[in-house]
Amino acid sequence: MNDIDFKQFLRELSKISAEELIDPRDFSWPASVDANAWYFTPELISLYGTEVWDSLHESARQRLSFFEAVNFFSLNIHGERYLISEISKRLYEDDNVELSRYLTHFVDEEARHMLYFSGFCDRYAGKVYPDRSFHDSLGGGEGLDMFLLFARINVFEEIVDHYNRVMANDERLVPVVREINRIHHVEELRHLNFGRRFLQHCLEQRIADLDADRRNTLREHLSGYLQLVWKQYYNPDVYRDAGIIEPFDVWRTYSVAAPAQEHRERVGQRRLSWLRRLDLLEAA
Amino acid sequence: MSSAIKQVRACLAAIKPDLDVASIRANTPLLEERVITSFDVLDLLLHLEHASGRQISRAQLVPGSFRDIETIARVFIDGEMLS
Repeated sequence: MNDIDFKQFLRELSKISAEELIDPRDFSWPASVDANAWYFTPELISLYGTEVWDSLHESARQRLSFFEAVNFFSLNIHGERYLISEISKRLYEDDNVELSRYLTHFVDEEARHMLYFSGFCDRYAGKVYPDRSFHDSLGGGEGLDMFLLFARINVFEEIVDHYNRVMANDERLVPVVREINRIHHVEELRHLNFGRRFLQHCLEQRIADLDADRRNTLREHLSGYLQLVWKQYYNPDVYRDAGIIEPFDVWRTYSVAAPAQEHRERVGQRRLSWLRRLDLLEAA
Repeated sequence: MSSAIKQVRACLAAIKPDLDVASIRANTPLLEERVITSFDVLDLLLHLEHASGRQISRAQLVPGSFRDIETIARVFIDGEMLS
């Protein structure tokens, strides 16, 4: 895709974002939620397939599903807070106005998504789980910062979108959770489409000329980031709130156990193969 | 060696089983020398919280908090705030 085609693509995305804006003020929130219901697809719950999961009765699994949903929405809030902050710092810094105009829509959409996620967490759980991730500078240098930023964003969003897509269509879940996942999935499709094209465009423009050492550094960085993203799906606070005994030990054991590893590999095969084909992620 | 520093060493050993923790000095710059990366911090914090028995606040996560074992012990075990 040459520069002219890419600018046209950005103009089209901006137009769709302006026309298809979803307003969180129109969202219908139930007054309360039922304790005996599913809030997270059981097969996506972090302890699914473990001895702990097998030992829980249905009501305890449903309680765990509620706090897994709060954790999923919380990690989305923190992920979006990070990307809004990092993208905003770079808006209108250079003469690529089309890019900055689209990214302004992107940031606006992400800020509105935070209202859905925090709306659920605050209304029904009375809290957002804290963010324990720590981001130092991207360290891309030589114009690679934007590339690394969007590579990170796409890794994060590809995994989130897998969960959104499954849960939006899971009729076992309460309607409010399905609807939040559906709305997020619809708007994230545009962001994912943008991210893939943007990364491809960067690769064509300059990344292809990087020497082997720099490419290795990029690949190691993104592979490390992918591990961090997955770690956020396993939270001892969730297990504590769900009434699971020895939550820290459960986290330490099962966040690296076979069911978790197999699940990550399955999702990675579906959603991250394209980054591996571009040699931006280490093989699973 | 102080108890807090021992606790930090134990936490590092837990997240990096291949690391020879005893060989790392208390003032070795951990991120600069890539003993750990920023991606290891989440695991380290969870272990530190478990060791100290209290949840870490976002205010403690400032550049410099993870400088070295000594600083981590002061900030995350003893609860000192970096300015």
